[in-house]
Amino acid sequence: MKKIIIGIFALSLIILAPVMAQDAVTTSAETVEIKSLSILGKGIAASPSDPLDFMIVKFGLGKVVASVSDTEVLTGVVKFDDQKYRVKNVVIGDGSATGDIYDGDTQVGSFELTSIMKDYTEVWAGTTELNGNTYHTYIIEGKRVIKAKELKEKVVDYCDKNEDDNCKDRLDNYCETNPEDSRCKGLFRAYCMKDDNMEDTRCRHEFRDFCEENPTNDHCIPFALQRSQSYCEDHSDSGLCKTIAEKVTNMCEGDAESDGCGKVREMIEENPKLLEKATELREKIEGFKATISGAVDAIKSRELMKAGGN
Amino acid sequence: MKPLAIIALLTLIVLISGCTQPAIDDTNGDTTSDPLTGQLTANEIESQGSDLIESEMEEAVNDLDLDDIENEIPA
Repeated sequence: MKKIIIGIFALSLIILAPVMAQDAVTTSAETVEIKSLSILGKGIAASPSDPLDFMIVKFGLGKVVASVSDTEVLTGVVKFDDQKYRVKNVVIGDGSATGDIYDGDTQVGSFELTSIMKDYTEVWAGTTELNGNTYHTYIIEGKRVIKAKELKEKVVDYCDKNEDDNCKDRLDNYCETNPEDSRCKGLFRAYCMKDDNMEDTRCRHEFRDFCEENPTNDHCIPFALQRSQSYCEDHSDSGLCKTIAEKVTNMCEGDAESDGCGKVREMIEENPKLLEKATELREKIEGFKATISGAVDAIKSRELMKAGGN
Repeated sequence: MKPLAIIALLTLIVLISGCTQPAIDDTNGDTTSDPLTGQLTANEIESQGSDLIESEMEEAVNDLDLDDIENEIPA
């Protein structure tokens, strides 16, 4: 009988070993991590016809990535009072966000929001539709500071892809243990200005804080314009856009070839409607362009003459 | 000794049937797309991702201080 029992246990081990091994693989399975956080905010959604018909609304949108397949998905949630919905088909642009609202597998609404910077507060304003009703919606962007571990990852990512003198010494672990260090913060802001990284609320938060302390910095006026870009395309005669236009004018009058002025010029060239009604500014921008292209032509002519002389 | 053998046999049956069940995702009941590699389906990525973002959202909006905002927005 002892042999039978030992035989059963041996058989158990033989059969269970591969099953357990498979289970071990499954438990070390793919994980999902946040890649960027587009909107994290809270506000009010109110009926246009009845101001007392309103809901407290919370928005959370971002991009997540799967660890093994590298699949990226823009996803999130929206809460109307305490009712939670999923969002799908999200599109995030420079200062705009659209998407569909789902209850389970059924689409029950949609949203269209535009970012507006009121000094150093970012407000997402627009409309949401829910169960056939339209609501005017105002979301105040929450505060989400970059964490030390995330700062390290972003700095490493930036230094891997870019040649920057500040990357020369190995900073990765240093930035994790010294997240307030000015060089680490500077590299993080440099990362934020690359590609579409300003769509991440952690980047915008860093710039809001930095620009509040350094309002005349070369990067701060372009930042304000970029965050209100979508709004200022259609409302270029609004007080907010005119204020930004004045700041841009002053900056470019001071140094037309500065990085900041160049960045604004790029934005205006890409979006002809941007600050369209700020005529004086646009004339000046055109003037700056003429000066720069004139200088480039002069250099080219000199080079041609030199080549001809040799 | 016989009852011991029966118990061992029953244990074996229970363990095998339990361990060979497909992995069940606790968020929406879908099975993983590939139990060997453990890769997630698009639905699972979206579902787990939105849970992560919801948690970030709650934390960020809890830190919102309306007094600060009132001070920042010009009259």
